[in-house]
Amino acid sequence: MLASGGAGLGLMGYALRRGGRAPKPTGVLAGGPRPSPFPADPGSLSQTEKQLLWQLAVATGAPWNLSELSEKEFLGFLELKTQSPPSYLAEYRNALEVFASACREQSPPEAVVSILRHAGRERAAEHARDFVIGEFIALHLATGGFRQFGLTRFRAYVGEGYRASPVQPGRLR
Amino acid sequence: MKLSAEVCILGSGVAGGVVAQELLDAGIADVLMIEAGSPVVMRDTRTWYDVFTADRNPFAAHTYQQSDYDNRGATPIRLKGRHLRARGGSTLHWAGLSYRLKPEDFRLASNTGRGLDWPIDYTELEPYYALAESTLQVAGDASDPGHPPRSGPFPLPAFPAQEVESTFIQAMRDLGFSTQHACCARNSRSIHGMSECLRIGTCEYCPVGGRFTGDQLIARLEERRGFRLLTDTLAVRLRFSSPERASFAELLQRETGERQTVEAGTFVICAGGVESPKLLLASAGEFWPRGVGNQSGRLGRFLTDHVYQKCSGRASQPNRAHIANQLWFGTTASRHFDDVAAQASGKFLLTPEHGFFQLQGMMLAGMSKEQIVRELEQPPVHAVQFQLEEHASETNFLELGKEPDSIGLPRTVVHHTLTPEAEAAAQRARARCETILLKMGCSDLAWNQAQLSNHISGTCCMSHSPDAGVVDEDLKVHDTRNVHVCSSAVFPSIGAANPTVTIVALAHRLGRHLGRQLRGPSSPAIAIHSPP
Repeated sequence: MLASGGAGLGLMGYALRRGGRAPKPTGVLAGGPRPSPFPADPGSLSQTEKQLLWQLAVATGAPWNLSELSEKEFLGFLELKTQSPPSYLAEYRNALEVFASACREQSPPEAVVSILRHAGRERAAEHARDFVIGEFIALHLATGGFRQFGLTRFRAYVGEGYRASPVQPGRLR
Repeated sequence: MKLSAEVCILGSGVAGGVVAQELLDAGIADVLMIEAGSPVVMRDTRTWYDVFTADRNPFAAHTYQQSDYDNRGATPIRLKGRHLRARGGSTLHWAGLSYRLKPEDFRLASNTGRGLDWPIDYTELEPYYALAESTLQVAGDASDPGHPPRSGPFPLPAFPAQEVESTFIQAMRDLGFSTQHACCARNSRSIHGMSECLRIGTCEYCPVGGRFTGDQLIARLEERRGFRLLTDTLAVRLRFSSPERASFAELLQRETGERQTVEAGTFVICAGGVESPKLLLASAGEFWPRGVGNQSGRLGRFLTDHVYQKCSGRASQPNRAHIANQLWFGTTASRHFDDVAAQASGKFLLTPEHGFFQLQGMMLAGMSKEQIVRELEQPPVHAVQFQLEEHASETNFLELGKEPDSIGLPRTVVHHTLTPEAEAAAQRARARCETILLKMGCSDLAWNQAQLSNHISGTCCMSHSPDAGVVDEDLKVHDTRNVHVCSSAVFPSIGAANPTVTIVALAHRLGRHLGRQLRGPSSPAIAIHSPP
């Protein structure tokens, strides 16, 4: 057999190989199978729910100064995510409850960080992190937020950062 | 239900699409295409959102399952996640890399005493390569070193190399090794109503059609009179009225279980390197007891692939400019070791690969902006990977399993073990990669697991005589009159290049040959259409 080694350029391996400073991955980041979203039929959010989710999206970007996502694009994203299967209606309503609860004792951006740090303890918060806040982060990054980290030479940047598991070598050839 | 067509094409991948296009252009207005898989929604915004925000693979339901195949050799093939059974075929999610074979690749056995020769040469295929590049919308730079002889420029200008590849390019130059712009079916300008590549980086599922995918060709065919496509329909076997003539194909509708037949004057099997030989094996019967075209015993044999492996290493300098990979494939390649001098010892194509910034992962892990920026400035990880030619060996083969697979076709049983010569060639390629990475200033070199590239070929190989292969130089199954195969299955050797552009060149050649055969010599001479 051919010789082999263990090193790839996978999700956390990339950072770990450069000094081992990356935090231990949790939840979806641990690379396990992604759970299904809470079941829901396609449908529409209320105007109030949309406004609250926009507030959550703004709060999600705030810890990293991500502010290039427009409300119009965000609302279009919500519409597509709720009105065709798999519908995220139940996920969004769950996330609003988790977010409202976390906001009782802290600011919205602090609430987001708190959910990210402590989500592993309960299912509702874990879903809020993986299906809502995590996806809002990806949306922030894809719509220009990557520039906040000094990636100013790129027109666009999504990269591989959204993947729960490393790209398999040879998958795209 | 009984169907009929003048020509029946089995498989809707790019090979089948090109053959159909040529037949329609020749005036054959009764072409029926059969596809086992389903349509995939392409260029859909919701699907794209799900790809990059939810890590959902839109092709997961359209690929092989692990249970669909058995590997019984030491070096397994992997169909799951790679080969698609869908309208448009596996190019729905390919990288678009489109390197021609080189003249010496057609004379492997003559030059080296190993493997097989092609019954045609590069000169014969060159005009069809030009057509293929036009069909695939290939961007490249004909003035780069390392290309085989060409009759014209690429249809689209090359993309500049990504900045992240500059270290690789400089190291190659310092070592005296040539590099070239990647030849890629990626739109360097808008074409066929599709956008230019926007370099968003979600290459697995492009939201704007920024590179060629097989569904684009099928959509254009579906607008033409005389073309029909049946999806979700299995081609179970061919039936023969005499040893020379297939009279009909037995079909099975996947959803309803309805059995159908299609009578056709000509059958063209465009089902890839795995399913094409399987259909001929499954069509064994009174006239062909060992499988159609298998008088040589070579049907399913000479299963050949590329060996792929990657070495990564950590750069010595911080990444203060925040340069990282943007795409899922390189924009630079080297064919320096893919030439006649390297043929006997094993040719290989080299490409650099670089890490992506894992921004979302670091944010979800709770890292602050300052921590993330510091992380991005750490010395980056570079990688160099090789794609090595494997010389065909009769001991590597596939056969039909006894049980059905997940869609109702016979399971695939693969026997593949690298030869000692291929192992030695891989060792030489590894040494080259390590030299390059060291020149790039990298340390802590580490290899990933070597694997096969899923460029499966050779299983219905071309030959002059029925004793030596399965199809003749016109891709007609030996000793039949109306059964053809067009896929990488017919390659007697695979070279070091990705196979798709060669498959498409063969498809243009076959389509024009059939057009002349069925409609007389008035079919169009080779004319390369300028892309709109």
